[in-house]
Amino acid sequence: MDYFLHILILIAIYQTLALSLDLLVGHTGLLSVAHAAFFGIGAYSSAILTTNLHAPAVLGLFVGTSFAALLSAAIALPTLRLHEDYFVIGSFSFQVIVTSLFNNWTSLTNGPLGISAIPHPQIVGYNLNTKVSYLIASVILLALSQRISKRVTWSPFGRILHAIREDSVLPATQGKNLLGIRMRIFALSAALAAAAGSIFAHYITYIDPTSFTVMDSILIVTMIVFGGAGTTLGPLIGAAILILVPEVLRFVGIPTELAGNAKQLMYGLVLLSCILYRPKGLLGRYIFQKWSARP
Amino acid sequence: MIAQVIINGMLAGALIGLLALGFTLVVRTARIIHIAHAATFTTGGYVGLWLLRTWDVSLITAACGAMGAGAAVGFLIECCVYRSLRKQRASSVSVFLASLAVVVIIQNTIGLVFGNEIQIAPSRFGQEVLSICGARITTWQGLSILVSVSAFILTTIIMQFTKTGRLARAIGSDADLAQIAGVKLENVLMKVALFSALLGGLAGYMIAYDRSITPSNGLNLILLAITAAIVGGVGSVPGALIGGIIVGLTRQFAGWQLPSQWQDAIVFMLLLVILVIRPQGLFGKPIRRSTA
Repeated sequence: MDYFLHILILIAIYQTLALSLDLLVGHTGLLSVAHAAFFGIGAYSSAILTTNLHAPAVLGLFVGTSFAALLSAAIALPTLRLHEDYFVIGSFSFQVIVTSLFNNWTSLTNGPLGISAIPHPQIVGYNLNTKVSYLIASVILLALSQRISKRVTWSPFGRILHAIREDSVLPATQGKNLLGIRMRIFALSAALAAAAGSIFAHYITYIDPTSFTVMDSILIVTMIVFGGAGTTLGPLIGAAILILVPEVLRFVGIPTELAGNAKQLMYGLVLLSCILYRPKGLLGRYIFQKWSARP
Repeated sequence: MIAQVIINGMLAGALIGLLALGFTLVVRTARIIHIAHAATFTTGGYVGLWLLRTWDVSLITAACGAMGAGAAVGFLIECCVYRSLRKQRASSVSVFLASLAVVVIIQNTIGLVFGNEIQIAPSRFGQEVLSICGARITTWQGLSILVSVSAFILTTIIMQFTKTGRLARAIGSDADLAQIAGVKLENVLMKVALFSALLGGLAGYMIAYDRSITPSNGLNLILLAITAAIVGGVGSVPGALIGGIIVGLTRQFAGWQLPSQWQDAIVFMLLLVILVIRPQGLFGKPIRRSTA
């Protein structure tokens, strides 16, 4: 039962991640492979603040999300003025560097050993220490992200996002501030990822850099592409399936030392075959391929 | 001390440049963010070391094996992935994702076959230490600078003076026009992909022999190569070498002066700075800006 709850919590956290990244990939047409870095920034902020400084968990959550939103500007400002390809490269290098900092900045992050004994927080007198309570917390965050995402994408602002995705020249000629709009949606997406990271850190109570590598970013992108970018349910279904399938395979009896490789190999094959044979994903509405005419 | 830092920076830079060269050639002709170059690199490194260890072949044979393995991977990528995406007129971003997926697949296949542990070269040929202006390098390192520089000269000659080179440059400047003029696009792009993969395999072998290799460090090294290519100007052959040396020197100086955790972060700073002040790089042509 505990194992079952654990899987459900993981699915809810990854659904939040996929949903928040889809604001960027599916709705704005910008690809970022730095989502796990923001997830990690949220997790590490919470972990460091609550273990080293004994700050309340809410402060950790708040600092993590604002820090992630601020750092997103470091990628967005220099690269979004250029062609979209540079944004991809910028996000990729940000991801690699953040992982390297998690690994090497030992005085702050404890390096590859990670941070352990992250306390369970107390929220309004209720002690968050059972699996059920974490499931409730992560589902609340998921529902909140879902509401935010719906509100944003169905607003006039969301219309501009979709317009940018289809053709960025038209909204620009109508005087929309493309850079500002893209930066805002990127900051929102990063902040939601950091919030998920904060819950993840408190739930797992032990974090190390291996949960926040470029592979995890690719996994989150794969969830979106597989489920269907720019749809309401696509990222949720993609996340659920891609978390569940390796867990099922675990019972088939692949030796543990090969399991990690086999899992990632499967993700890579899923991503490649989606792009080659079904770019709009399972529930696809928006065709990933069509959005930008080649120069 | 400073001479040693500079020599080490140049050494690392020459190898990063060699990796950036293969990357920049594909970017220039096919207009793809060819991150799957990391896959040819890793395959070359692993096959080279495996030949040395298991079959006890000579260094030259192992180098040829590494280049052949790299080229085989490059052929598969071009044939099964890029060609089909070009047919669908896929956007550059989805080609990037496919390229990244290829890296994940190859890196984990290598992990399954050879294991995820760090690999080093078995027989340590070329560890004699030479002294140049007070700096110490091994013969292998001296040799790798020579190999890298000759690869650059060879590439420049091919790109400037052979028919294939001219066709590749024509495709790079305008693929549609080149096709109208009768250039067989797929043939030329295949040749470029194979040549780039040969260089990738060679770079993998040189770096793996000098230091070590793991299945996953291809992506870290390709980031250095991308930065080098952007600093030097995407598509410029000498720019890749100069950019590589700049990246190598920056990392060495950062490692010398700053706490070690900033050695990689400084590369990101370098990338951001160059994108802000001179996005076309040192030798690049001005690039098309987005509408933002």
